Amino acid sequence: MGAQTEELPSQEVEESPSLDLPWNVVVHNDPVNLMSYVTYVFRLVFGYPKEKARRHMMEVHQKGRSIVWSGPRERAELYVQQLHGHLLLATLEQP
Amino acid sequence: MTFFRTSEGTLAIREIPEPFLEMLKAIPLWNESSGPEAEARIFPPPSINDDGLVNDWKAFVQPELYDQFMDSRNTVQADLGAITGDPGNFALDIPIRHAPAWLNALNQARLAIAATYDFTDKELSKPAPAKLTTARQIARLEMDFFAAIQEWILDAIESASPQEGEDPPEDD
Repeated sequence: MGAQTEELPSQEVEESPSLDLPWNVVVHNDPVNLMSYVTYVFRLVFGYPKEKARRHMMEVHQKGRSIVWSGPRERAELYVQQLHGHLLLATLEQP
Repeated sequence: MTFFRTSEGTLAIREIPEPFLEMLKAIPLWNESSGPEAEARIFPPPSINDDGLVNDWKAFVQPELYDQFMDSRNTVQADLGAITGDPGNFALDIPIRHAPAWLNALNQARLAIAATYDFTDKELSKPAPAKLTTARQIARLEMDFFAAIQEWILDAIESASPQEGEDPPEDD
């Protein structure tokens, strides 16, 4: 295989980090919401198994916040709206 | 006061004393009658640093949430309107399909009380005070009473839902 290859100039890709990076849905601690209720909401909104929902709930309780989901902005906004609908303190963040 | 599920799945509360009946009747009223502190907690911002998103949220999402919260309170109000019985022995039935609305309205009420009386994390981590002589102490008792009903409803939902192995698949 002796064919010569011509090196192509590298393409410059314009990156749009704010659109391409996943967005985080963060739930913050709240002394009023019951631990069992928060676990219930995580299962309902994200379809998480009980243990995963409980792990996130405990992280919120012990560390003050938990990233409960990451992905495209539009869907992250929808999840934050659903969490607000259940009266959880949730925000949208980009890492 | 007794809590149980009927054979049809209805959540039943019986032998409700009058003071607790009054607390139950106040559930749909707390959010509506509370001030800006409660409103700020019930409608939190969706972002810490994105003002554009916060403004859009206020314009487009909060009205939807407001309607959703009002629907929950209306469902609870309708169930409360069907209370039967005599003083000392009132009876309340909550159809299981109304359980999510009750959880939501109870949470609205608890958040509104906590914001109105500015209860601290420390206060809320302790048992309710033994004395019930001030509005603040009674409000704290109301929070605990509503929390007990929430726990009971969550237990009922849990026992009515599929077992762990039947959880829907995760999508993350």
